[in-house]
Amino acid sequence: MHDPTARELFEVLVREHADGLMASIRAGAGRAHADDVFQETVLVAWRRLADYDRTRPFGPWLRGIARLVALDLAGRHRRMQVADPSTFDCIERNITQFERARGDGPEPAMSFRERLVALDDCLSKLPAMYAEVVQATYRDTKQLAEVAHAIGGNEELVKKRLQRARAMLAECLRGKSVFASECGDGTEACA
Amino acid sequence: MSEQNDKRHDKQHDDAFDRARMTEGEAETRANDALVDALLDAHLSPSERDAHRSAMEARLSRAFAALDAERAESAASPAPLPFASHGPSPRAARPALRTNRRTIIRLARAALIALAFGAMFLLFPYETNASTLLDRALTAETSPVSMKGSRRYEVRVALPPREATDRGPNAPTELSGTWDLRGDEARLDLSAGGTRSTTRASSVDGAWERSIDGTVRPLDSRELWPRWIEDPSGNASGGVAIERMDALLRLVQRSYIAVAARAGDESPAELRGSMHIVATRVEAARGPDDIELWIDTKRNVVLAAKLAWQTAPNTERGDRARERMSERGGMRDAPPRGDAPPRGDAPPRGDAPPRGDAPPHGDAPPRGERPGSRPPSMGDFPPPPPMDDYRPARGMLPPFPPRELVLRRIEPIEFPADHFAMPRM
Repeated sequence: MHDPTARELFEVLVREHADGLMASIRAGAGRAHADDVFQETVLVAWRRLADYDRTRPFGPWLRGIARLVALDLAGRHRRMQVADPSTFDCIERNITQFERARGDGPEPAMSFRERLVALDDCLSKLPAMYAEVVQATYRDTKQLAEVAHAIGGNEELVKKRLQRARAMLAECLRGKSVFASECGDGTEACA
Repeated sequence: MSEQNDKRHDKQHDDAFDRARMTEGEAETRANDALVDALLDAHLSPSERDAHRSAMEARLSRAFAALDAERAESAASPAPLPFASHGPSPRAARPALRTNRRTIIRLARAALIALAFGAMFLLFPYETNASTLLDRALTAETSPVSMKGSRRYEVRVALPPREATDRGPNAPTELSGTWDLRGDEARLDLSAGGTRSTTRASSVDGAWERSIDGTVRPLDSRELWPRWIEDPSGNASGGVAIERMDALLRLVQRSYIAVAARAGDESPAELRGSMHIVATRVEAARGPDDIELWIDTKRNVVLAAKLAWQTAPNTERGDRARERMSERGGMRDAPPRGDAPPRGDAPPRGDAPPRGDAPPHGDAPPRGERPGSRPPSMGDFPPPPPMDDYRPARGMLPPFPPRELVLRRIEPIEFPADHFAMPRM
């Protein structure tokens, strides 16, 4: 039986890595089942806590479990799609890099959300036509059809602009060393 | 021939290499796209940005509630991961090879518990359901106020640990009693550990108090209830949320994320089958961190309510208050009586004298009290913090939030005509 201290320590660790875990789940397994995968990951991680190697970082271990949980869940839900192994590896490398990233100021960025400030800088550099669809879709949570109507185009155009905008943002984040420079085989991410 | 074969092999090798490179590049593109999508969602989406702390807190609460439920249900033994390995994975997360029937049953049970208890959080399809339930209950709970209907709730107040609130050694840790409501009138009878009860009430003629020694005195309406549950707007309904059930429901609608599910094993037996709403505070409302409601969907009435606060030690609250005071330009001692901000738009009740004019307490100890022994006195609560965040309602409910407040409806009930009126002295 785990004593209360182990339970408390486990909760602290999970809380510390909750944002990274959620981002990883959303990126690898989509939004619809993200909460289910999150919860199951916490449960499985607790059951397997004895297997955790304390000399290694907790975040990648937790996200590794999330990946297996997502794959398992996708096996049971036909409509759920998960990323292929190489995409998962690349997501993991980027998140690991993201967690390592320091802020621009003299003090290192402390939390996952503080590191997201880098995204603001990249957003401000987006050309207006791309910034417009990003803000309308993510901030104003408008449907594709609404955004298409607003910009006088069709949904395919909106999708294309969103995709290009995300690619530009990824490139910008990579330029700031917030994302990994290249994906590789993913083994370094877990080191 | 051989040269041709070599060239063909080279060509095949180059094609394979190009395909591999393309696949790797595609994987990177897909990963970047998916991750930026997730980050944009976390950073810009109002549901994640504005309510992020609460949304993530609820997500974590849900996960840990399921974890604790599972811990309670089963003896801990490492459970195999119920799936096969897929691609490179962290060493520790590799699945165990052996699974057995007991584990599957345990996992299924854990999943059911998680669904029953934890899934009430953040399952957005249920939000509409919770909202509809709250609307109906609000309508039903408002009508007794206008129709002067009578209601009684059994009350249990769990106070924070003594050491967390600097209370005296005789201070109680739990209070219990009844909360009676009829129209705009309310009466709260509370006792600690079986001692004599104290009473506070607001009637049409004004507010009053009967202290533990039996002394009755009128109260300024501002003194009646502590302010730890009033919403920051001063309350549009003109009442403290716990003084009126409809005000509590309105508070949930306005300042909480609420989800609903049919009450199951996680609820007390007598409440199972009702609808269980779990609400987590979103805004900076003055109120509990979590509110649970059990609603009878046939009558749309609240059968029970559980309000929980994450309490901070008194010293910590005092420090925060002092920090705020110093930001305002200096400290001051305890605020003078009546210095509390007025209670929203609540009309003054009666001609209640100021607190200092209260009649002196009787000298003789109340009948039945053993000489020399001092029952746990609710007056052991410390004065409100220097920064007056709290209504100075000493003697009944403490000025600081309790750990938990549970209300359970008792039916049927009919009160005497003078039940809420101040007893004649």
